[in-house]
Amino acid sequence: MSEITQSWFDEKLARFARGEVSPDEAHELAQASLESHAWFEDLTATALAKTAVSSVPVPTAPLRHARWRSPFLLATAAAIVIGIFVVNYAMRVSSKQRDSARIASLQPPSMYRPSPTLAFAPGSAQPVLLAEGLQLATPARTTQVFRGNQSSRSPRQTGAIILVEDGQATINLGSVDGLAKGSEVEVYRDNTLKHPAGTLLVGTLFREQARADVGPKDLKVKYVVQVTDGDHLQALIQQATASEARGDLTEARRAAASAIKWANNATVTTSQKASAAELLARLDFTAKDLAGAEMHYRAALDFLSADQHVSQNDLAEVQNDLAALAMLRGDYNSADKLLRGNPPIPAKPNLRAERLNNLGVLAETRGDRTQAESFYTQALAILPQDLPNERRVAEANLARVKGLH
Amino acid sequence: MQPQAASNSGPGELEPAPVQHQISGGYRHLLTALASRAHRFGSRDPEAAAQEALTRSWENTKSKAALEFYFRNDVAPHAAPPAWSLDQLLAWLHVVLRYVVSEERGRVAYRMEVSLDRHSEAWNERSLPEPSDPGANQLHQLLQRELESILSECFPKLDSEYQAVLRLRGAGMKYDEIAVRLGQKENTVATWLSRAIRDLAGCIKRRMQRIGKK
Repeated sequence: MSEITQSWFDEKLARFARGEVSPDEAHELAQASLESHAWFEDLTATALAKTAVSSVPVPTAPLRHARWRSPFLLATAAAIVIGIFVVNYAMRVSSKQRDSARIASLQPPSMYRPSPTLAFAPGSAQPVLLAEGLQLATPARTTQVFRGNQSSRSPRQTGAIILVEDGQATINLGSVDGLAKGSEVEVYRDNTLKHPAGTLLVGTLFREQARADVGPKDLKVKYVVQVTDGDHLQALIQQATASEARGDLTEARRAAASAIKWANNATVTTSQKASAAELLARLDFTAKDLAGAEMHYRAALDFLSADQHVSQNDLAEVQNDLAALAMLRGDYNSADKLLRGNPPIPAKPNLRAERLNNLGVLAETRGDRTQAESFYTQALAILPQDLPNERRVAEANLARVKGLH
Repeated sequence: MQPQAASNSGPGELEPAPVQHQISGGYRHLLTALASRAHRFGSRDPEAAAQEALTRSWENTKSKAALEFYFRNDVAPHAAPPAWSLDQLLAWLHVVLRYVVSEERGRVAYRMEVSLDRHSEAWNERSLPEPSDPGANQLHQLLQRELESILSECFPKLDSEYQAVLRLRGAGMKYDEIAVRLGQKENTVATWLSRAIRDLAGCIKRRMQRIGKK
């Protein structure tokens, strides 16, 4: 035991934390921890952490109920509830309060606690966020490939030439495998994929088959064809969105997670990886897994940030969605960084307007109603007329914050 | 994983009360470490508190077996491992010591007939069993409450990635399943898990240091 060093103990403790030590090693570690009180405390704290995680249900969301234990917060909450009753009573006896601004104005400013929401309702008393990727009411994004029934086969990356006739090769891969008109398919002589025989350019596309001009190439039936990694990832993503469209959220999330895992070791662009991560984030959000959604939006943001040719619109959209998620869980500092910290300037006016609206929400939650009004006004000014839902949100936010002055 | 105290807490399974020198003889270093902690918890007689915590642990079949295996310096080579892991034993010792120190402070307060504001303690008196000698069941309940309290305080402070990996691990998922679920590599999952436990342990350590100051 006299040879035990800090680094030895740290290494053993890390392995202990991961549950990798045998009983004999645990004995050795326990004995070693008695050499120093600090080590014994480190070991005990690690043991408590492991035991807590393994024997107590880990919270699925920030432990909001714990806050009720605070007498101050309980009193505050009670005051808010009483305030709501007072406001409701006042609203009933008044016959003139029909517009949203007045509803908000009935709330005594001292009791008004803005709590950002994504759920828009006319006359909403809370600031409403705009986040394109988080709108649950949005129908599932259209899948390019029909996958209406569950028996549809999974996308394949490799197939074969099944017919060569009249200068055209027919392959047993199609749109369900991620192919589109103009897609390139690599051809190999055998399954080893080590003997290339050329490339086919898809000209005619079917669901599970495709045709391409052979040209001068010497291609034969049973030669193996392979879809590019990018096209295959697209097929995997479409499979997940198709499951979502069918209402099978569990399968959609599983498929999206598989797509990301596959993409991590494939030759695809960071933007393509970001698309998969963004899809999973959106599915997580739909499944009310806010922590998962935030984590996968962060992964998407990391992928996009690593891409030199990233679309500023894509980057801005993910940042805005992440900021909205942060505000939903009350993390206004993170939202601030995402909305203000050197953000890209998206070309799309609706994305610029979403950010301005959400900056308004941020200002409102921090009690700066003048700045909030300014942001909401700017958002409304650039929101296209053909986005009536978004305009209604910005209008309601503006009316409410004006009513609070 | 949690200490299965309830299953062996029947009176028939309790060991006879140990002779004090039996404990102190083989566990001198452990007693010193526990006494140091008892001092920080606010004990007026840390050595007696440590001795009492160890004595109570000795009375429980499973904690006794774990104590003998992990902390006896002359444990036989290739001895069969006990039912409890080292995690379980250390968590148990922690909560028993806390109970003993709280009990001691309660007695002092009673004797002095001073109305102490016990509710200001993080682990207030409502969480304590009746002043009579607590059974293993009650100690087990205390441990559960302590663990819940730890999670409610420390879990929200972890990074979101670490929270996610702990949630999934807590749900019984394996590394490869978590990797698929999170779209990460297994190595990343292992690293996050390790760091999550480390950060959680850091929070617990700070929490333990606060106990005696309250």
